[in-house]
Amino acid sequence: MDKIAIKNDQDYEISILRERISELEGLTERLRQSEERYRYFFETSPVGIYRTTPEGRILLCNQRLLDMLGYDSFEGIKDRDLEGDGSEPYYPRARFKQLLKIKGEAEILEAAWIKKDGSIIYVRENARAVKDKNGEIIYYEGRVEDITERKNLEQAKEDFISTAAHELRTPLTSLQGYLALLDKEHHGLADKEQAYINKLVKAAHRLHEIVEDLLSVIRLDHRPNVDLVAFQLEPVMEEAANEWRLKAKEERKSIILETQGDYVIQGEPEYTKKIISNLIGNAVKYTENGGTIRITNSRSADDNQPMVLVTVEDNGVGIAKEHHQDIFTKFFRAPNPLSVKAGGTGLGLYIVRQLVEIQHGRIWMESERGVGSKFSFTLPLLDKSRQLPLIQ
Amino acid sequence: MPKSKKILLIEDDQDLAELYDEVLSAKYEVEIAHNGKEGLELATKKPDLILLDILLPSMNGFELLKAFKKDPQIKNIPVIVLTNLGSKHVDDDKKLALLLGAEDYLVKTYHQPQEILEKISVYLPT
Repeated sequence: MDKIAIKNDQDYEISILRERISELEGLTERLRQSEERYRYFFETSPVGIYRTTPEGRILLCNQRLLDMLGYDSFEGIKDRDLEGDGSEPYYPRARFKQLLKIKGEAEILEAAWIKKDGSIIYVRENARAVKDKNGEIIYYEGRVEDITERKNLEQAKEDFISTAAHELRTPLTSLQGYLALLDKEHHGLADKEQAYINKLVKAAHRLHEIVEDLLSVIRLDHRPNVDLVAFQLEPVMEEAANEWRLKAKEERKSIILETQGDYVIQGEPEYTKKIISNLIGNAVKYTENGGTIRITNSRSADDNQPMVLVTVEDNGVGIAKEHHQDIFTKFFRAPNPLSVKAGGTGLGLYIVRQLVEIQHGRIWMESERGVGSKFSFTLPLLDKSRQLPLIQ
Repeated sequence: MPKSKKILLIEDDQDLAELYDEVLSAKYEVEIAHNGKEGLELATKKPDLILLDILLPSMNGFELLKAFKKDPQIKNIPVIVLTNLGSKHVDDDKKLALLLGAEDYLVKTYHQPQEILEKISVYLPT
């Protein structure tokens, strides 16, 4: 700053003013540099960023968002209504908007947006509501990530697994079919040969189970909407337990069914049988000879709606604490000496969890290494106000 | 002695075709087609039942089923879909087959050949 000889009060005020102006210029310059730094990240971000009015009209956005939606410039997009026609009808934004209003922020893991040319992209979106002092929302701002490619890749992988599994079914059918013929027609087989056939049948059956598990996982991953019916729980539990009685008897393990009440569930009986059967099967596998597997049902105490609680408990090898959180994930198998003998794809519990959740239930596990494991799950009791077909 | 009922089996896998041929021949007369074209031709010979695979070369089973139901000569012959497509639950493939006019839908891998023999006998009353 130029040095000015201060001769009187006026000069003094002027020099203060000049200092202030200089400061302001400095601040403005720093702000400009700061904005330039952030603008660079804003504009070049690989994620779409937007700010909209509460009604969904875009106030500003970055280049990536324009590119994602296929617009040349902001002019094209500024009259676009993101709330109304922004998203494809199968991905309703109602819940997202609701959460935004109540919690102030929300995320959609998978949503669909319509591009300028009418085609669809799949996105992951999160946003927050910016409110004024009175709590009124002045605008929304959010980030949008294009996940179309990832989704296509996932779909391609699933298609591949599905095709492979279906292909596997053909030679499997042949295997099982001819083995059945061999078994039936050649009663004069020597013990040794019969034993070989038994082993072949067992192996073919295992193969069949693995292929079916793979196909189940793919199908369940898409959470098909299953038709809920009313069915009685007790007979389903008995049928599931009966599937394992022979094997348990051979291995001197007891299966004890302690059922009470005349519970009628609203769900899917085949799924429920598979859940209980899988859990009992695991319990049988992971319990040493002489052990006990106990299956119970009762009213669930702590749920908002009436639920039944089913438990499958064993006094077997148990699961170490460090594996508890992974137990229901795909392909997870807790390492233990019985695992190798027990076999299994590691998909069983993942499938079980899907089957429970499709019926709107919850599943959890308690276990201690060397003591045993207890699997518990809930299923909704019949809501008598709903008319559901009763399955015998 | 009443004449044996005739079954047309449309199945492209050689081994499975032989398997079902052997089991079904115990009770019925069996003719085999290995693809859609052969299937259409042999269907005009008016079998009493058609067992139809879905995953066939060039023309898939659903298209074949549609063709059968459009042909006045063939449309009244009961068709049972015998395929490895599908699951233990009523899924889209089963629904489609039934919608197109199939009497039943059996997943090969879930049934021993003997069971299949029993299941189809319902559609072949003596």
